[in-house]
Amino acid sequence: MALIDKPEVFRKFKEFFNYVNKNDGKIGVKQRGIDINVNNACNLRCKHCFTNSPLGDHIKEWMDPKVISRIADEAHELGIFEWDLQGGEPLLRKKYLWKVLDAIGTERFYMYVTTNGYYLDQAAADKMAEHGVDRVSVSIDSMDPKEHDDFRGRKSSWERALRSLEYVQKAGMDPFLNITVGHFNAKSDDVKLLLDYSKDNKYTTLLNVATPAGMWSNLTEIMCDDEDRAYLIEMRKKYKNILRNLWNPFDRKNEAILGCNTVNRLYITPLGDVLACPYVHIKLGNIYESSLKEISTTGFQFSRFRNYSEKCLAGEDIDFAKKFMSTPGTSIFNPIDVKELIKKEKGIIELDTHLETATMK
Amino acid sequence: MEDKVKEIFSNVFEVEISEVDNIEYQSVEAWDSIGHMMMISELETEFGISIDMDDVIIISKLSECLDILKKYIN
Repeated sequence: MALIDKPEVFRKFKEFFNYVNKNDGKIGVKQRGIDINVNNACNLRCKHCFTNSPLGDHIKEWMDPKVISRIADEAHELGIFEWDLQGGEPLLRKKYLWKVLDAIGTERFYMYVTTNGYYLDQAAADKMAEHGVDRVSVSIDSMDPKEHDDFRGRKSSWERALRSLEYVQKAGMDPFLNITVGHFNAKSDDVKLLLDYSKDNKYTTLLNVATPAGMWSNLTEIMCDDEDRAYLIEMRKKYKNILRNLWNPFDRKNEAILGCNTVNRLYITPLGDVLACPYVHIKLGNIYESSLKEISTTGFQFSRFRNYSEKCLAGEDIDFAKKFMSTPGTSIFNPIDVKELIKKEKGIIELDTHLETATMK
Repeated sequence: MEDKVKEIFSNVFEVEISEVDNIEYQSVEAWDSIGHMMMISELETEFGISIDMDDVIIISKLSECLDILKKYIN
């Protein structure tokens, strides 16, 4: 499936490209995507889950397809061109998944589903393609089946995950092999083996950096450091099929950084809360109370989300993680309110201005 | 116009000028969806035009591109 097969997507993607080009290669305040968790239940028990699904956190709420349809209309109006349907595990209830995809109107978006692949057989892959899914992302943690299965908490999950990518490719969708990289594995031989496997099979590799959120809350030692970041760029140049959301996809030299995608890619929880990204559990608003446009405007009022950051705030900026992601009990279902942060920030600016004026007098 | 279009094809799709007549959409690595969009964007900027989506989709080789551009450039 290619972008060019969906003219509306192509048009919005071109607008995004033009914006980035005019903005010196930076993402700025241009909206690009929606990551949506329509239900938090999952069949696996992953050690790093950022949604606390293994703890059974809010696994019974299912978002109404009518609501999803309304969000999709608003997203389309904002020029958002990509949707990542995730969970939980989206393939737990396939009939519901087809309804959600129809509600979104997949002809308007580069549509992808992020799954653990456990329930993804050829029939399901074909059906996903029929419903307009362009890409399927499956996370693999290791080329050692035991290591992957131990990490995911279920036997055969490695074998099923790898096989699911073959089904995706056969169904004509883009197979993405997702790897979570942190300081513990960024330069490991195992990650190299995964990169080789992905390249050899003509998949795209998506790197997600490990973040101290959810089940890994407060574990800042897992975060990539500057050397890891530089090494990942080296791999990007070498393999040419590796993506990260904060890398500039238009740079043929495979060097440029688009910037951290907070607010540019909104994360929506099953309760309708909209967070800055899947890993930064700071709430910008709720879709039952405000429009996506209002919510985004609020989000960009916070300077850390508005200003360019060449580091992923959640996975690479240790100061940000310590300051804004370490409050005990914070989760996607118990996020910090961005309005409090904006208020504090304004207070600091006003205090600085007051002190400056007082000093000048 | 033709020389300029060839130059854009060569730069965006990373092939020699002498090769641009022989390539098609998805026949070289750089002419994927993103490459296609970059090529259209370069053409629009270079000639100060806006190409309709119906035409954007049709273009899959240099000769088709040149035919379509004639509609926009007098």
